[in-house]
Amino acid sequence: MKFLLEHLRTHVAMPEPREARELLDDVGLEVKSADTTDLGTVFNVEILANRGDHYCYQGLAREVHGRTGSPLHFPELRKLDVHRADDTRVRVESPKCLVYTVTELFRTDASKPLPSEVIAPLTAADVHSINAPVDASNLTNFDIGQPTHAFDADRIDGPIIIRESRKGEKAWMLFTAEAVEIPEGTLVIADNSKILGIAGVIGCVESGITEKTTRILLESACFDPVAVRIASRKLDQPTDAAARFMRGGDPTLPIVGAARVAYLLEKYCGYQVGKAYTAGDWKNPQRQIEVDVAHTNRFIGTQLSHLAMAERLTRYGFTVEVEVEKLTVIVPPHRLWDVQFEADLAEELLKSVGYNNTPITLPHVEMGALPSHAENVIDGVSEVLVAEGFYEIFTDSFYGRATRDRLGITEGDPLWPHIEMQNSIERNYSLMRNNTIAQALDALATNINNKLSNVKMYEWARIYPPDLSEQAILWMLANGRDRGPFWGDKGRAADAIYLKGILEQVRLELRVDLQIGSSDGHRMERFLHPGRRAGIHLGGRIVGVFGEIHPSLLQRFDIKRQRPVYLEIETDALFVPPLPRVYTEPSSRQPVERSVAYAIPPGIAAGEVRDVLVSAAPKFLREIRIVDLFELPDAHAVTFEIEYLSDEALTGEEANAATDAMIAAVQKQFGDRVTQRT
Amino acid sequence: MNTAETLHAFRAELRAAETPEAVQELRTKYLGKKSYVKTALKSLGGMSAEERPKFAKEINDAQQEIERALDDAAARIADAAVAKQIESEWQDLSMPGIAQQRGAIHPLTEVHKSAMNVMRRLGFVLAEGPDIETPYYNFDALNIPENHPARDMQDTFWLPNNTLLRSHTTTVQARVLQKKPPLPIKVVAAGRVYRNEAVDATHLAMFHQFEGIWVEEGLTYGDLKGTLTEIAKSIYGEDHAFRFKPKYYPYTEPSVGMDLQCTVCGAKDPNCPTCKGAGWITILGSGMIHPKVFIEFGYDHTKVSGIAFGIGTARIASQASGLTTLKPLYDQDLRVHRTVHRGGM
Repeated sequence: MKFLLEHLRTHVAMPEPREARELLDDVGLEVKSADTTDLGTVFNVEILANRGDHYCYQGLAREVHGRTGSPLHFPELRKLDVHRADDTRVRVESPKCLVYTVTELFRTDASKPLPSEVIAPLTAADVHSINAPVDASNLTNFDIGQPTHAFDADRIDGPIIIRESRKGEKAWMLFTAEAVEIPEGTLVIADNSKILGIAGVIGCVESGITEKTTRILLESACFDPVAVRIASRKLDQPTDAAARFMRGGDPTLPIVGAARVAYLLEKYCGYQVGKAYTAGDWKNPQRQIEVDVAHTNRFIGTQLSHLAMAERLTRYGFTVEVEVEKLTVIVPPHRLWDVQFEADLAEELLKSVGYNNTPITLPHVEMGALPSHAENVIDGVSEVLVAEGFYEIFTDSFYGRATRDRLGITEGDPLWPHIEMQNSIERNYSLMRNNTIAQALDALATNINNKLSNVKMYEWARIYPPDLSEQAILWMLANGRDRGPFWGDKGRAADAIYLKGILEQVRLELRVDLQIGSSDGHRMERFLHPGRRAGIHLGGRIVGVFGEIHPSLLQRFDIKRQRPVYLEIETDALFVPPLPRVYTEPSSRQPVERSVAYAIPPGIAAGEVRDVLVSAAPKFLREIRIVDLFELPDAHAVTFEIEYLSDEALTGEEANAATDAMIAAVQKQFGDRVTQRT
Repeated sequence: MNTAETLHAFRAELRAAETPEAVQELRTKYLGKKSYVKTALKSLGGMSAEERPKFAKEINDAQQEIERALDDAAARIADAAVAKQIESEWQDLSMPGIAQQRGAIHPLTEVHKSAMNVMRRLGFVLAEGPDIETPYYNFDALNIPENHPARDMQDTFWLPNNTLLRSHTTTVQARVLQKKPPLPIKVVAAGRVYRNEAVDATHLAMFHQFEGIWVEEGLTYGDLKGTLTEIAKSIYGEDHAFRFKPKYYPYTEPSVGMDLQCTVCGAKDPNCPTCKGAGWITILGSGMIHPKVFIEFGYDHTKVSGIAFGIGTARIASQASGLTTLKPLYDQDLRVHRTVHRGGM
């Protein structure tokens, strides 16, 4: 909201602009920007959501007064001839209307607009001048925070009735093209034949003043904040009046507002003022709050006497009954909506003293805390990945329907159902993601477009199944080379085997018994190359999957000439307790090594051959390692290095006999399909 | 062959020796069992008492000369070999180094870890909560009733079955308070939060928060400021100026904003693009836990008080990274991440 500093000075003393800005910031009226204009310095102030009374110069001035104690000046008013309205004039039929007043105003032949210097606060706030009554109404709202509205008295049919709207009723609101249906139960201002306005929100065309209007009925009222908010939202009318009322109006202010409008129109515009009528059953509850002086001083860090505390509270409009150890504070009408507790008054006192003018303390701390196991796991895994050149990224938790389509998912597919966003204003955020592979590929594509194809990235993410549950996962994607590229060392492709190596490092880091097995049944399996994928298992359950991205998926994401690999694992699988460490004393004997090489055709995994070798191995087998791979035209040539170690002395003959037995087992199992190479 | 002739021959052969092996051969030839020196020494026993001392000295002198000359030659040859090796092994160290290049955790995670380090020293532990929440934990329990304007402070993504995406991590605080663990309660909640806003350079639909609550008897506003100052100094350093100001958050009373003096202009440039002339940048929101929140979860608000604070991790991360907007933090452009990680190195 834009305020003119020079006009604020008519309400309370203010320093020069820079100091004024700091002062306003310091009392909770945050200045978002300051502009020097022909009219003077204009502050754009952010109004707090709970402080409707700040929507005016008087409200700002009261906050400054609360801090500085400088005298507070209230704008001049016209003394009104006030009467209680009878049913023929005003009828309040809903308790949501707290107070309703109408004041008669008459245009004369001498009527003229408000002078430009008087409406400077409107100009500074970019509010255009319309005519004298509207300008006076707007100016009054700016000055003291009471919205008012002018009806053409000659366009009103019978008494003014404040009631809730009926089913099917229509109203033609100002600045709209036509009448629209009003939600049933909306608080409206009506006469015998039509709706004159939406209470606290906006007036209607059919009762508004025109150039021909001579008799005005000036509405000045106070409505239930919730009723105004509901109406404003349902009708999509976020007006200034609604903003004021939905934060809670001052039920004592309507007649004051009317007196201010009357003053302006009479003094500057040649209008005559008639009688004023009030209606509504609002009673001031005189809310009382007791303040324990010692407790409050301790709570906010002050040493105010009970008298000083009372004096400061009165600056904000509170009435205070003083005793030595406690204050009884009566909440003024303009603060009934937000002041209920002793803590609320502590805040007022803090603002008065200054948030920065109290001591800084730090409570005694007995003992610090340690990271949880889950935090340690995340740190440990992250360190493994970062050491391998991976970058952590964050992707959105949602995407658009187009992303789902690009995954090639169709209705009926288990991955088709998503949690649908009900009100997203961005089309790209219409679905909560139930996978991360789409965003991983988008991220890859982004980098490829930036001429960066060696990509390694990971994310600790959540996915959102349609049952509104959430699942935490870790995913990673690698593309290009496993390291570098360096001059003279181009590394090897970051392929599925590379990811398997990463997984093995993670397994070692966490000491979790993750096993590689079939990817069957994993929901992401279909997105991976059928010949280059595997499942990650823990305790007999599949907890993840990894492999090369399926070529057809790459096509759908328009990623060409790349072979990215992707791994995904449930984080719960990483958080399981680590296996205990087992120490084995190094043997005093040297191991005996033998090698055997096989030509293994496609379709038979080296691991299968290894398993057969192990199955026929003697007890003194320590390890079988694959140490070389050579591509033949129709097979892989794989070299296994067999290491024997025994507590007893092991002869070369014993090692040879054991190796021969293992070779025989492979021959028996695979026959001529797997041939030994010499 | 006599001693002089032997030495003469040795010197000539030594001059021709250029390898360690040749030197070793000479050592065997002139100092070995069958060498002139060893044979001569054996012959001393057959000499007369007059001849023996003179001959013994002659042989000893010869032996020492040979040994010294062989050692010197061996050292010279070794030095020459090393020099030759060094000369042949010059490496161009202007070439880029080769080692697996580290990646990096995200700048947001770095901020999170820094803040967590401080919070752990103060005894805080991390708590988790769901992204998908009910209006109760996101609003009602936190003194944001339906149809209160405060709900407009956070444009909300609504999901089916009257659920929503949490608009702040304060939801986790609500869940912790509901469980009523023993006092003191010191909990940090961190993670993703969501706002249904049009995305631009300064507005994101998803970003990260880091929040904490400390509930105990007797906590004061001064304690709040002390805790916040500890956190801010750990993140920004000791040399920065901070200030506190009134704010409004529905779940705290009093509510407090904490500002950092503009690190770009030092609060001296009215046209500073970073602070827009304000001289200060808000870095966190906080306050004393609102009595209504305590009442909601069955605490006696006249006895128990609490500190609550929330940090926009993304803003701090962008400031620390030298980014002018938040959005690049949430893009997946690894060029940005590498640049941020290396920080000019």
